[in-house]
Amino acid sequence: MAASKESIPTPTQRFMAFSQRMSNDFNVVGIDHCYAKPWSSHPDASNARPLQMLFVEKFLRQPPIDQPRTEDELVDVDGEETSPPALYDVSKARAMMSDCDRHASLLRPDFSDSKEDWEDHFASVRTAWTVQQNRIFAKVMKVLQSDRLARLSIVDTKNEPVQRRLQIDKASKRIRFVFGNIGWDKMLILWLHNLLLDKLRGQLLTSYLEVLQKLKAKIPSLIDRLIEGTSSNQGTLASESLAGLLKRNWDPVTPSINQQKLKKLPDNPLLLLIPGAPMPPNFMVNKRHKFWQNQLASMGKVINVVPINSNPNKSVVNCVESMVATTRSKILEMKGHFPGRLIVLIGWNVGSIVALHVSLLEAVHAVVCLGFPTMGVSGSRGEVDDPIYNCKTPTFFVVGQHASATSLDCLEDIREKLRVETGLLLVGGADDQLRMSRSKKRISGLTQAMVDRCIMEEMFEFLGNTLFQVMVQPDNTDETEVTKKQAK
Amino acid sequence: MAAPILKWKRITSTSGPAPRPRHGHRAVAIKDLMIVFGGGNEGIVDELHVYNTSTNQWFVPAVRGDIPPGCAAYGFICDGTRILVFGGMVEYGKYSNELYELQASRWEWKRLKPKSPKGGAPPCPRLGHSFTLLGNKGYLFGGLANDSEDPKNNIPRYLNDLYTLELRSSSTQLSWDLPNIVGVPPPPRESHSAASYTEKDGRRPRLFIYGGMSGCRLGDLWMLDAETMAWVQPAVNGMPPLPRSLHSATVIGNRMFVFGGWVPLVMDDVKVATHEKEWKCTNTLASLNLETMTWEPLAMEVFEDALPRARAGHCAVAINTRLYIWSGRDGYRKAWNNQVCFKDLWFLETEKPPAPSRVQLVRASTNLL
Repeated sequence: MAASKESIPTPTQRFMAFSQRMSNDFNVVGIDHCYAKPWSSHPDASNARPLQMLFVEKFLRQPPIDQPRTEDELVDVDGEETSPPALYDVSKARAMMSDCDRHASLLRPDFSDSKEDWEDHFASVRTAWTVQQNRIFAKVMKVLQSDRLARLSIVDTKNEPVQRRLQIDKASKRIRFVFGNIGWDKMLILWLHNLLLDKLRGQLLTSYLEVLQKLKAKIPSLIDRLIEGTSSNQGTLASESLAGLLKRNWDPVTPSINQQKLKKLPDNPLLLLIPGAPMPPNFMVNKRHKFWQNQLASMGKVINVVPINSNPNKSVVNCVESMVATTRSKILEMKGHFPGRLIVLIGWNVGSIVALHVSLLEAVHAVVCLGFPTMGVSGSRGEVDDPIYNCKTPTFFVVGQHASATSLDCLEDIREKLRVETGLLLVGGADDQLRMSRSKKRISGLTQAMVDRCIMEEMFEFLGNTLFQVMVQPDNTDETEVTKKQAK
Repeated sequence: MAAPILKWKRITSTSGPAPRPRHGHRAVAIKDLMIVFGGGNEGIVDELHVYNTSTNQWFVPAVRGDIPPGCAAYGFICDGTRILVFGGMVEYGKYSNELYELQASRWEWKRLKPKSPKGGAPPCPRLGHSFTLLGNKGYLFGGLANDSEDPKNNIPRYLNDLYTLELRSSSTQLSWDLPNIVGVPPPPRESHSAASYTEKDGRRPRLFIYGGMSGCRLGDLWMLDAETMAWVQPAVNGMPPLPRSLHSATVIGNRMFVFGGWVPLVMDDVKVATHEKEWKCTNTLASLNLETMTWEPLAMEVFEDALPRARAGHCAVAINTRLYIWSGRDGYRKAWNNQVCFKDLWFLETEKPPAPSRVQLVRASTNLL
């Protein structure tokens, strides 16, 4: 439609409910006279929809300056900033953000008066420590101090919860790195942990607790060991209450995203999720995977294809073959259970290649390739004999801008030759797994959940159009054609 | 007087290459042939298709000459075997003001460059205008222009200008003419219908503009007297149909048949000014008697399957006493930004087949005796 391609939306505009965007695009002329695809007027033109870009801006750091300032222009210093509407429930996010802070101050009501002496205290005892203890303490303190400075730099800014979340993620990554460097030496880390819990005050303690929250979600078993080892002489901060606190891992936008659900796709299709690799039998679902699953569940019925890998020594070829076989058998099973339902294959990385190959073998209605790699063990894709060219299922590709295994040029070449409608979404600053880099997230003021949600909305639009066409086609078939075929 | 029951009939036994479904195309009739050009759905069509109503056969004539680009919502008139194409959408958001001629006896296209009118500019690029043959002239009225340079950013401007094109001029080059009109012209609009009507003795040639779109769907009727070039809004009796655009209006005998199009969605009980953002397609048929200027009720067979489905942007032509319609879109699905076009071909028998002659009756009764 005419209005939708007018300008490249800013990241904040991107993160808007799909329905909202649609209503803005309501344009009478575009609706009455939609004879051509916006990108091509000819009916025999290529089936490749033009590349769409998500969070790809030409000038990343420089916000656009509309007019050059004249010299005697008054600069409004204390006027109110005109802010775009909040994309998430800011007050709720702020409440969650200060949760840890509140806990820390409850635990250490005396933090204000004893602020000075803990540093002196450390200085006096440090001489008694071993070199290793000194080193790890210094490293961790450096991380915590810089986190504190970072936090102060964004206090009371508009997008504080999101920026704070990103800062904590950074700090926890660095702490994890420090701990990893000493090989997770249990004695040493436990010593430091108890020391920090015992002596840290104020925002440093908050920072440390927030880091632990994050790490608890990432590496639960290692953090569990720390919690168990927490010495109980610190009054209220016993291991149970610490465990309770660490179980929370706040996210500023997830609750808001969960509230504004995606709409149902036509005919409530079956969405088969194919992971990037076989899983061990008792695999642990990661948080992002869960988020995707929850979100997709409002579009259709989500079914996980879980290729179990019981034998860790399997070769790559066997592995992929077993993934294909598992997916095929799942499709057959689903076709038995729900005859006539539309089926969409959604694959991650290698799983997206599996999805494409399965779509050649089994009749499905659409394929989504998330983080589609164009480079494989045996070189680049898109050779003349590539079976991908037999693909007859509408396919939506999503790739990261910085993905190391994907070449955009290569994928565009492939798409040009495909005889079926395809879409391609490029996610700015994202890697093979479509994870946006930290600095890009900071500049754009986004979290991964927001990025993922935007990807899903683009997916939703493509799938909606595709499945809708599949759905209406049968009841519009021409009788003459049918009779003609019978006559022949 | 009980009017005969009108019956739609779907033609299912066509042979030959059926054109792909679309909307915004136009059709004209030459004898038994229905000639379809342009329109589009997911791409503008540049093929010419011909349907022979006596053999039920589609065929694609081999055309030559300056073959025009495909266009949609353009103007299409037929004078004898000479067919003219004017304007329409040629690309997404890009409109044309070119004139092409197709000589149907040779299937040869020719690009025409008509002269500008005296003291005026030639018609601007547009779509959704009407281009109607009346006497020896083509009448171009209204349409929609795009004031934006950027095809993706549409700035619509509705038009109500009137140009005429003399088709049997003595000079070889055609020229546009801006006639001096009398009276108040109809307000600007596009996707309206224009039908020409002349009384049996060739007197009082008139042009009827009905409906259209100007931000909201219109239901007004305007008449241009081609002799005096006077616009009037004639008094019309009877129950008028709902306002509409993208419909078709076809004159058969002394009646103008209006079929399909977009109509405002009205609640049956509340007659409030409806929120003009809600529209739907319709499959209703209305008939205006051009002699008495009365919307006449039609006795229709109303079984679901015996009616063409609601549509807009279809084409309609009159061949003898039959009204043929083909393709068109079924509406707009707000949620998915796309629509479906029909593949079906229908005709409506508007008059009873002629009564048997006296000779036939006598012969039938003697045989019986």
